Amino acid sequence: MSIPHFRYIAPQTLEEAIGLLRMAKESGKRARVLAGGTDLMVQLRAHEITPDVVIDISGIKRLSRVDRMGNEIQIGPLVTHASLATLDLIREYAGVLSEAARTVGSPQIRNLGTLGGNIVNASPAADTIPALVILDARLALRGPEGERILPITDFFKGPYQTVIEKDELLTGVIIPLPSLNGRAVFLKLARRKAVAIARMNLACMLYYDRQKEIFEWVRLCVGSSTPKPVRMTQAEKVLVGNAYTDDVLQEAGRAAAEQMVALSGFRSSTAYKKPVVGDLVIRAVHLAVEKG
Amino acid sequence: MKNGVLGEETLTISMMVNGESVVRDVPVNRTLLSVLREDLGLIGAREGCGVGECGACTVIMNGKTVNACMVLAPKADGATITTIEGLSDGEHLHPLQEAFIEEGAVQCGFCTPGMILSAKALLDENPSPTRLEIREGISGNLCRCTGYQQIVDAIELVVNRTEEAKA
Repeated sequence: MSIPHFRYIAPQTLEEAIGLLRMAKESGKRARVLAGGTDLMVQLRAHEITPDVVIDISGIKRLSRVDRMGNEIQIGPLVTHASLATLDLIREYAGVLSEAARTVGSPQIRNLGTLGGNIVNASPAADTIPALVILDARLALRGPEGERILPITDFFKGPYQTVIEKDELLTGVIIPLPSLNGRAVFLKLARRKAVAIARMNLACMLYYDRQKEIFEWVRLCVGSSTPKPVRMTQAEKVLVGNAYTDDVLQEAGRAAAEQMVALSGFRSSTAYKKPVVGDLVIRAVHLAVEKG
Repeated sequence: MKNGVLGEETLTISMMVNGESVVRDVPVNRTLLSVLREDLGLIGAREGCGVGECGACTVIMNGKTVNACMVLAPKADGATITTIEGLSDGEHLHPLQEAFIEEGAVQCGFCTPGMILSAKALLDENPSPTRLEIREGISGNLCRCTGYQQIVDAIELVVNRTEEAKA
């Protein structure tokens, strides 16, 4: 299918890019930001979007950086999934994000697709988002008025809906370094291993104290099953302070399933997803404990 | 911004394609795949699904495999591109091409250029992959004839030959 007609511009600096977004907004032009293109090209080809202008930000060098700054790592939005999967800094301090990025698409898609694109596209099935939620990531957005920083969970309004303004650009993903050495697991259920959109995915990070035989802390986030990404706090509460036993795991699975249904309501997929989300939580917690 | 208009409708892009410098004026809403096929006559990369799922359009851009159907042509400006046409020197086939023939890894042939380029990128990065790593390396390429075993065998043959040559 043909790609709709549009104009193209590739700013080389952040200031230039934001200036262009502002000009487009003020003149009533529909602008779309192009990064890796793995979502945008599909939407263009399907004529789901018909922008007046495509603003290609891939030439803005500083948006491709990964830096450690004190107790945080800052990941530029143009960092590709392939880089997330292989960079030592990410593997060491945000291993669950590396694991999530490894499951995205195919080698070709991971070479093109970017972290920022995965976030801003806001698909409920995005693989990096549950990982970022349990890592307590914050997002830096830059607009004509300056920068604002918000927790990733405040960024999404619903499926494919975010709070980003038309003249704002995602400029960084900030991840605090974990203060405790937890174990992390990312699981993805899909029709097949490669090039598949997650039916359900889950990021889990926890610390199990083997001396005291209790879960010290647990963070769980399930993707593709709630309108907005959220922590599975009910299941987390069941686990924390308790021992790693079958009963506790089963109870945590039930709590996660109930929270999912409470948030999403009964849908055609609930008959499948309700038992599966519970099993996924149990499997992830089991794997994370066994990893340690 | 000129007269309230943002951006260009046509751009001049320069690329190194299979070792040769190429300069073309292209409308900005075209894909790298269409420029390669229609303007440069390099029809080894095919359009299968057009949405990055089948890998038939795989080319190597700046050392990494990409789906050429998902690369907007202006993004290829300044890039170094290798297509299947660039693997053979005109007289000798590339070892991967030889191995694909020997192992019967080509059935209808539609996926073959993409498969070979994915395999090349894999071996450039990791010259001695395991069978599992080979499967992961070609996981973005669909073979509708389902001849995957022979394809993996062919790639493995190149790995073994390279190791024998070193020993």
